Amino acid sequence: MQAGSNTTIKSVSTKNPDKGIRGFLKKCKEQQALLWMTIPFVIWVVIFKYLPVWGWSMAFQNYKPALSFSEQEWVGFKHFIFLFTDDRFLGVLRNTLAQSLINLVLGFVTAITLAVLINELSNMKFKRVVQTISYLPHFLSWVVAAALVSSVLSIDGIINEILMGLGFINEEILWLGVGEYFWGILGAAETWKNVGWNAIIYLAAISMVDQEQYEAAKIDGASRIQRIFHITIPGMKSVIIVLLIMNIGYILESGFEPQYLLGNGQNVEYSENIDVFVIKYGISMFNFSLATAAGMFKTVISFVFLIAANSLSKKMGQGGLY
Amino acid sequence: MLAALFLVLAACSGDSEEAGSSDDNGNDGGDDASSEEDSGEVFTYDYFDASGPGEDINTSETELGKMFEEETGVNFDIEHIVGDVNQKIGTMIASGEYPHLLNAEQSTDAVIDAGGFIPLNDLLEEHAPNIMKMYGPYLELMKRDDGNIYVISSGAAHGYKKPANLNQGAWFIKRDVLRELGYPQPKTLDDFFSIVEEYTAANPQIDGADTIGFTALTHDWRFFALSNQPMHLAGYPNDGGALIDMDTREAEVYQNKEITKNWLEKLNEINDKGLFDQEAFTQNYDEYLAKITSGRVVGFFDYRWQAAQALDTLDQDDDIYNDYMGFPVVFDENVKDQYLDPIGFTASPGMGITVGTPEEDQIRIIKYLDHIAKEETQKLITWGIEGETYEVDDDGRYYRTEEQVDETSLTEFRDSFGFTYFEWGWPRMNGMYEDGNAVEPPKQEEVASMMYDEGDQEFLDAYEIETFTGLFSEPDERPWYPAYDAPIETGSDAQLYEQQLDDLMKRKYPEIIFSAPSEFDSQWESYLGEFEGLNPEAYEEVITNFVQKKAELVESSRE
Repeated sequence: MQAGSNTTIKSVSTKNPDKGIRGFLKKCKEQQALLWMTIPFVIWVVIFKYLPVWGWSMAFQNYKPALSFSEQEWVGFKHFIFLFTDDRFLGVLRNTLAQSLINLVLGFVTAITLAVLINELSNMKFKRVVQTISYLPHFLSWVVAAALVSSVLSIDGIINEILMGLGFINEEILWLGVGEYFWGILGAAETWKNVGWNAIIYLAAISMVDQEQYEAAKIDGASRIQRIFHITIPGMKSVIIVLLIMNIGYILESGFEPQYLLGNGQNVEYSENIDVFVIKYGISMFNFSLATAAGMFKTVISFVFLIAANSLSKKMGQGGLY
Repeated sequence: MLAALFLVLAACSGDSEEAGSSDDNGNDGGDDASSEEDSGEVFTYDYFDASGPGEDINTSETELGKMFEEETGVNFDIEHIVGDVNQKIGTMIASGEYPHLLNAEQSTDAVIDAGGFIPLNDLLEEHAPNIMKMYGPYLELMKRDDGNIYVISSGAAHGYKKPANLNQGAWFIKRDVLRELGYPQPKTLDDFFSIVEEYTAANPQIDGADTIGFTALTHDWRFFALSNQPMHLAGYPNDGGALIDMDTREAEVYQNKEITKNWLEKLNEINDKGLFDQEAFTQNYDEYLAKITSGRVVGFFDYRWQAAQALDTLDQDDDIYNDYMGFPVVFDENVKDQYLDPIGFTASPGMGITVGTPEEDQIRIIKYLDHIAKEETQKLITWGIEGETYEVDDDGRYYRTEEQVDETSLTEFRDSFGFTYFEWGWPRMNGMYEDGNAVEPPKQEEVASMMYDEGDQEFLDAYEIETFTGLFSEPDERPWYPAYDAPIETGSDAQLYEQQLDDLMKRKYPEIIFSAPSEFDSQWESYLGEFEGLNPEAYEEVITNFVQKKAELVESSRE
């Protein structure tokens, strides 16, 4: 779909004999109405996405809110050096990447599976109930969700009781007290909370698949499983790729609330990610410069990932975001 | 900003209607506020209170606030903190948008550094004779390095009154435990834990749930409820992150010293015996409070105010044996306990007027605060109204009847009357009024003794004390108290040390406590190794300077 529309635009432009400035102006005139319509959004993007980039200057200062710009003390790369030389920053970076990757993989696999499964249900009522129940947790605030998670995982919580009852473990485990479990707990909690919501977009993609393909496959003797793997999933491919590229751009955004709320002294070596680190050493200490420096670092990495994923996907013949 | 704009508009429209009569208002200086605001015009200002959560309310909706509004023509929209103080105040600083009146709690220094508060010196001089009188002995202490006063804190001590009830740190044991073991009195840490051990061994379950020998509060910024103990056990009051030598007045951090090792070793030992709550480092504040309220906990250490929600609940129910009683526990019997706060003046946090508040509004606000600082108003906010919430006997002593005691302890009454909002946080004195009555009713013997029920009496008698602070030593004189009041500059090495130490303790203490006793020494060494990478000298220097300067000021103002 994406790839198709790209090629049509290209073919039109190559046919156009006018090139350079004149051609551009001519085209602008032709598409005047469309251009006018985009202006509000361009203004929005400039104000909310480009102007704040000015604030990056804070990363190179010892920023004090009361002083005007000219009075700020410039310190060069001091805050970046603090970040990258702090022993814990490497660990924090590792946690961020690991948590993100787990979320990415789990999030995709579970949401796609759920969407396919829901699609296969033939009882409409049951289908709606399942869908509603599965996406409801998305609307819970993490504060509430984290309280639920920590009470489920507490020593006398339901998880321990079930595992003890079934004989899998001999004594209660303090799940949130063992650092090594944290990534898994976080992945499971994120999945529980978001799987239904993430599945919605895939369901929409599935509904775009031409029904005739299913009928044709049925006549050719394809089983239900074969239809899923050869029609449904290929039909969702373009959506999956677009979402994947966008999510890879957010690889350093592993979230903040769950790590902050579920993290504690015993699991800090696995729970602390960049955002939590920034809160502790940046915002809480009123060190806005450090927070900005960390934010810049994140943006640069995101940029690299986004471009890399996009060109990789293009190379593999899947078309990219742009 | 918008609110300020409306205020200005409101003020302007008011002016025109009254044909310039309010022109005089602004210039009237030190006159009594009530005569001046005869016009009946009411000004509403925003007050943000970061000292704790609460219901957001306009002061005029309370009985006290209504009275003050009638006398000064001013009321406040109070907004309380929700969530983290540093983040909320950080946002205010970053945006530069402040309420008119602000109590920034632990972020006060940051607001001052960012130029968020206006200097109050001239305003106080010209418009606030009562505040000047009440805070007279402390004015020098309130000044920052630049000579300006930015905030007015609550609690200017006038005379010392030993509190009848605990509000500070103590080692709490469930009354049921004490009764069953024949009212033992733990004096040392070993005593305390042998009581815990004996009871837990005999009662592995309480009400069907596993008995928890000792729990601890470690959540988020409340971690000091576990890390402060070495200081208290060694006989020091809560001076924060350092011990202050009584003679040399030098500050010394204790987190890498023998006393901390002893404390952790004890916890390691009781963990090995199965007495230490396995969830101590994963539970949050609410879960901790719920656990205490459930009655499963044999003993714990905390500051009374911090565990107040749980302890008050237990106090108000019918079971008199599920309450907890606090003891002053120390390392060994030769150490004199110092759990009760010495007389001290805390210069920060306090309320300050923020930049951007127009001058005429500054004057109205400072006059309002000055009105509260009058002695008769002080009696209103602490005792209430004579004949309604307290009585006076022939000797001029204040007391409360049983009904009045009950009524004034009801949350609904305290909210509607305004005690909840005015009792603390505003200009306030501590100690005794000139007529000898205690400022705070619970510190007045006549009231304190009324407040004890049968259960309380049983334990008071068993330990042969008059009040629950009877077991605690009188506080020694520490003119610098509290050292944690020291302003720590944002971005300084001292501030970085505090944060890094906090992180280190939160990470390593659980490992040390939960390790097998045979590994304790190596765990402690590994913690010490990481501690070496910190910079405690920077912190000690800031605290020492503060302590010496403050002590000097206090002593010179006394002469």
